[in-house]
Amino acid sequence: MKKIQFILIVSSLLIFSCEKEATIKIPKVDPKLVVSSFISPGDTIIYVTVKKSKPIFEDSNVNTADPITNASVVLSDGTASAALSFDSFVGKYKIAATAFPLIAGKTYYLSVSTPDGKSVSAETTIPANAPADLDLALTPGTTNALEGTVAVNWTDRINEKNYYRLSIVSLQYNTGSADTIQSWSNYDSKVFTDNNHDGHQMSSEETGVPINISNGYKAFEARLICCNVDYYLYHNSVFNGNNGGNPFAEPTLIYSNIKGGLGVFSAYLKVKKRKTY
Amino acid sequence: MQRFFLCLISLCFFTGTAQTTTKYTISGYVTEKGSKENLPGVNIYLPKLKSGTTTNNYGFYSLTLAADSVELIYSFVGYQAKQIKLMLNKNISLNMELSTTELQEVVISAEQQKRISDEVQMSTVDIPIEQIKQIPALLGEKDVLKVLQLMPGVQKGSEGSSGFYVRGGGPDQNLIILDDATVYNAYHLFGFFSLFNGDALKSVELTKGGFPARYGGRLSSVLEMQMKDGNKEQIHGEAGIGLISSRLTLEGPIKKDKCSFLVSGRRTYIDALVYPYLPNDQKAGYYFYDLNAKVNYVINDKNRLYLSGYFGKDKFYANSSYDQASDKASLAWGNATTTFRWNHLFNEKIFSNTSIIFTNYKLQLNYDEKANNDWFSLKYYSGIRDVSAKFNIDYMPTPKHFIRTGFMLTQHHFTPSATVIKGSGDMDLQGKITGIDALENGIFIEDDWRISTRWRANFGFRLSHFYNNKKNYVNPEPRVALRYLLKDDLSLKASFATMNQYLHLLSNTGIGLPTDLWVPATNTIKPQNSNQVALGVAKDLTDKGITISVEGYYKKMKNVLGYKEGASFLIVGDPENGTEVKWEDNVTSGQGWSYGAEFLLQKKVGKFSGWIGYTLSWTQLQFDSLNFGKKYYARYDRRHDLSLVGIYKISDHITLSATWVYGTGNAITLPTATFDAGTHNTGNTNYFNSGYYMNDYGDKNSFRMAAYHRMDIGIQFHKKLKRCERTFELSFYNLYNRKNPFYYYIQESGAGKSKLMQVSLFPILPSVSWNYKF
Repeated sequence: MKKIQFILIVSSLLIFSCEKEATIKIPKVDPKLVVSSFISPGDTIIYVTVKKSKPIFEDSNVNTADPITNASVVLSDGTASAALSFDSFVGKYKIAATAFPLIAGKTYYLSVSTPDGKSVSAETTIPANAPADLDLALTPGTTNALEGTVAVNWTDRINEKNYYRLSIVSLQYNTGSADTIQSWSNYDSKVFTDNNHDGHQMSSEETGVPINISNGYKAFEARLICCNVDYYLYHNSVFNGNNGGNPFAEPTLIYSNIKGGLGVFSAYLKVKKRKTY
Repeated sequence: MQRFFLCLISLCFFTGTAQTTTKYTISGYVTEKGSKENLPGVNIYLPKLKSGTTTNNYGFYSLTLAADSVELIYSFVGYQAKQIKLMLNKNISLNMELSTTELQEVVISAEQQKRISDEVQMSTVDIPIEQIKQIPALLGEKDVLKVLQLMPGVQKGSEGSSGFYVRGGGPDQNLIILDDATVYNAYHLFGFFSLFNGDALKSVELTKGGFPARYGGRLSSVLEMQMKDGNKEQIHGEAGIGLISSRLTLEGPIKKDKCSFLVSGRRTYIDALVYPYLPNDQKAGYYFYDLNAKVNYVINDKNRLYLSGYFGKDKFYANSSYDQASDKASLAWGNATTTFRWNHLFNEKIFSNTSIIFTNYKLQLNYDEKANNDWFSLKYYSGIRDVSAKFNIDYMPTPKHFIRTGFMLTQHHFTPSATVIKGSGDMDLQGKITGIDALENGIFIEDDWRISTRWRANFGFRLSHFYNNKKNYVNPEPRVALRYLLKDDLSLKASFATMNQYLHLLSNTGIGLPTDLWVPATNTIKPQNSNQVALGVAKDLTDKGITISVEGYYKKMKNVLGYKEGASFLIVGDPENGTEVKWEDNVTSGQGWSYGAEFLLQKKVGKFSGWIGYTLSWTQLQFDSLNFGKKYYARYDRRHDLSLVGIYKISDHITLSATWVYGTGNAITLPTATFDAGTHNTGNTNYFNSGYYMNDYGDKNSFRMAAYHRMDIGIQFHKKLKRCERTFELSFYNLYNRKNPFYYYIQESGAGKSKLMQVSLFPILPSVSWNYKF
């Protein structure tokens, strides 16, 4: 197969091709602030990461993985505001939810500025409601009794545009008290909408979920992320863009709602249901 | 709308029958002297009535006039005009032969010849085949499609590619017809050469807008090509030897004046030349060939039969063997078309043609591997096969009306992709998709109506239908073209056309790769639709043999296909593990706008001929799921496009030719920065997943590639030998060695800044060829 692709590519370029540095003018690009934050009323801590982008065609010493440690990060609900402090252990800015409680349905504002004069801002609205009837059922496999099929159902809220992300997780219990979670999900990398399903029953099925009790599997859990449009568009574009470097793939524009920067400030509600067997 | 057309049709018949004077019909075929080749598009002018007609695609004409003495002038570009006077007191069958002028200046007076200012049809391009053969070409391979790219409103895609873009429409929106048969992939060698061999062609006409109702099925253009019928009087031939291929054409009578044939073939030979020099255990090569063949038979005055076909194939192969192992890989694709046609005259005013058409495009990829006792075999193929029936009537009741009506039925059979993997071990897999069958039908009527000396119109209506998987689409397509004569040689024109397209082309590159895939409209992927208006001025400078046209157009397209971000169609599905990617999941529908102005000054005959074409245009697209719903410029949006073409015949022995083209660079998407796009970890809320290193592209297609310009020159030496005419040609492609961008890529250099590299394809390339005509 690789050989055929090789023939395709090499022969299409013939022997004549030659290359040189392009002469088209590329506008000067400065590093931009890259801000990521996913907020939810159910969380105990609100996190924000701040990094920088690295211009491709300029000399730059930016390391895109390094967090910016000296930024001023302020979260506001329009009236009250709070500054987040940098936690060098997790590499993020944070504030306890008790110090700045988040409320479903409300709009929040984030502003980030750095001592070198860069400043960006964003706003996002937490979804007001999440489905109340999340349910899940397990059917043990017929050929392999150690694997089963998990079906997840919920009702989409009518007359509103809803965005989802779903994870199905098998819980592997250690001897002792704590749960050791072995994350297992295909849907973790997919986001979807209620397009053509507004107000209808939504369902999703996952096969091959491990249910080997002797290995400690005793429960499974469905986590439904009811996200807002910013969360959906951002994740959708990142997942689309992660195509393993296929040179023929269409370029993917990564969604951002950070004014003057990159990344996303987004929100979600989470509904979980766990079943033991 | 229907009432309007009913009124129109009844009006036509009314005007045709209301007068009481006795009328007679002159009808017949116009052919070329010496070969009896039917000549389509010949102008037949009636000086007394200041009216006339033109021959149809099969060279037939009919004029019904009041009994009187009649003067007729037959004229056609490149042929000596003929004048006939006769007394019309009965129906007359008059076949006419025209002799070539050896490209001398036209001698007939201005108003007697075919003028673009008289034509109601606008937005068309026709190039004499002789001119196509004189224009310098890449590696000496004369190419109809590349010559068309030199016309205003028609643009090339990338360097060297035969794929063309008409008024902002993609290569998928061009209907390419050869003797009534649709050609689905018109390219050899990944688009660098087109299938069409000028030696076998009689006429080439491209319609960019104001489509008459007889055409349908694509949004942006119709390229109609007619193969030569074959010399009915004596055996003739033409042979050519070039750098990469050789050609041979033979034509002649099977039964004099009754039956003739034409066979024309071409094959490349680089594979044969290289083969002996390759090591025995590593053999690889590439070739393409094409073959045109046609036979026609004149049964009697009223019935004629034609059988024509095109067969072509490209193949790459690579075989290697070492120790106990061997592998073989090949990639082949090809078209086959066959058209059977029956011309029948119901009477001297009603001409009919019935065609049965078969067309097939197939791509096949094979890979076989053997190592010791293990083996692996992969086969992948895709294709489209059509069977069509077409019936057309040309009805010429009076010189004022030329009515065309008919229908076409097509059964499409698509095989989007089929994979078969077999091997030792546990790997049998049949990723075979059952073929998809669809029906595409159309019924039309149009009238080319000379309303008055100043007004001429073509009113038409087409009803198109498509059926696939229990879904029916029926769409009315109104067509109107108007001409108003300001002066004898100056006219204003306007047109409106609605088009629907039920087939989509999935293409990753737009350069005509054989992996491009035709798929039908479905329940979810709706047919594409366009509405186009065009306004123009046409002027003939008849004493100089020059025509000038200026046109403005606006085209709105709906449900055009785009590729979702991250999508790839190199091969639909992954044959390695047999998973099928549903193509519908990879595409998205949107809308497009294209508008602009075109200028063309053309001189078709004479010592110095050629044209100047300039296009100013804008093409924008909008897809809800691309570029976050914002409008953006299409990749082939080209603000300025200029072509200069000159052919100068110094003497009977030497012809010089040169072309120069300039085009704004393509709009592309380039990354300017990289960043860490952290995603939310649903498992542990307080952690983000990082490691998704993404590019910051800015807006889609916000960069422009460097402008494209190039000059080609050629010199032809003609020599008449005892039994044949020899032409030796020397040409230079890209004379001043301009490094035009083919694509850009980013060369990373560790931690420092990366460089944007430009890859160019063709430097200055000389070529030589010999042609013999006997």
